[in-house]
Amino acid sequence: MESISCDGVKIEFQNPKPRSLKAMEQTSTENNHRYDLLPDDRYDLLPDDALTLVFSRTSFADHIRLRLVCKGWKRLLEDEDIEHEGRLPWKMFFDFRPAAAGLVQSSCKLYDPSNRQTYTVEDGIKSVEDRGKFQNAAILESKHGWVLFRVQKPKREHTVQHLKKKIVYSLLYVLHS
Amino acid sequence: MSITTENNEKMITLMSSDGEEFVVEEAVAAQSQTIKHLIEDGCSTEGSIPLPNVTGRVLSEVIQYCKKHSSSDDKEEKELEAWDAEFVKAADDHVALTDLMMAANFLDIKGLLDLVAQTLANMITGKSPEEVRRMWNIKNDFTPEEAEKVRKENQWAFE
Repeated sequence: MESISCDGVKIEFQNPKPRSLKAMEQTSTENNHRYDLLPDDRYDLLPDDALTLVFSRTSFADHIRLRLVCKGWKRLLEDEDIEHEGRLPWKMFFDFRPAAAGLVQSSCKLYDPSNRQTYTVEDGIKSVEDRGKFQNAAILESKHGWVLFRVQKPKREHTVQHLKKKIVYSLLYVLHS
Repeated sequence: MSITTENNEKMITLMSSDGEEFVVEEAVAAQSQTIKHLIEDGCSTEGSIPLPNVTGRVLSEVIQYCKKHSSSDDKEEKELEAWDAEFVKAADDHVALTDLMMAANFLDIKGLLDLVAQTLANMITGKSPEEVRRMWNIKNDFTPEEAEKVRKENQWAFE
């Protein structure tokens, strides 16, 4: 298990232990209750590399959703570098503007041109502490789900801030098109 | 067993895990890279080729696919696509598709493997985790807290 820490958000990686179709060939008659399924179900026979083939034919948003099916799928989708359908770059729309005192109207949306879907990362009122620093900020770079903003400060000092993981995590593949 | 038909087409006998025998043309059987290599290694000259991981029911479906794909040429691509669509539709549910996928993998038939993987992928595309679990009978092994954490990380994908 290794982990990295950035801006207080800890991300952990678990060492994958993939089972293979080759292993299945040798033990095809044994029960492998990897997903702890009902006894009459044989879907547990589909090993990791077969699932990988199936997953590689679904979209990035599907990958995110399918993580919640069961722990086995989550591990596979997070630890293995599985391709996804639609290699077009995503678009990100963002808008942070002052609302009432101490509040910011914050919205961030993502658009996947491959399936013409728009996803709302955020659309609502946030506190100035949370989002105020992004007002008048410009995007410098995005990578691995992070977006780097440059914030213009009054005294001409430049600092950089990370947008919170939740918002930018979805941009993982923006630069990988 | 290696017998020859009137058309001089060499025939191969395949035996499923449950002992069922299928006599097919070599060109049909050779759609499977696994069988092709066995033939090249001379494994088909005596008796039948045993396929211990494939049942007779699944093997008969696989042979159907191989027959169709060995007799069609590229000009009939559209017709072949329609046939493929009917073929996976007939497989009916994910359990049958899973069996087919495992067989296609063991026998190394790339076209069939791709076809079945795409069919399974279409079943889960755009579906919620709950729908996928229900459809494929997968047990939810997350605690409510764990599930909430995963959902919150990327709430946008679940709306």
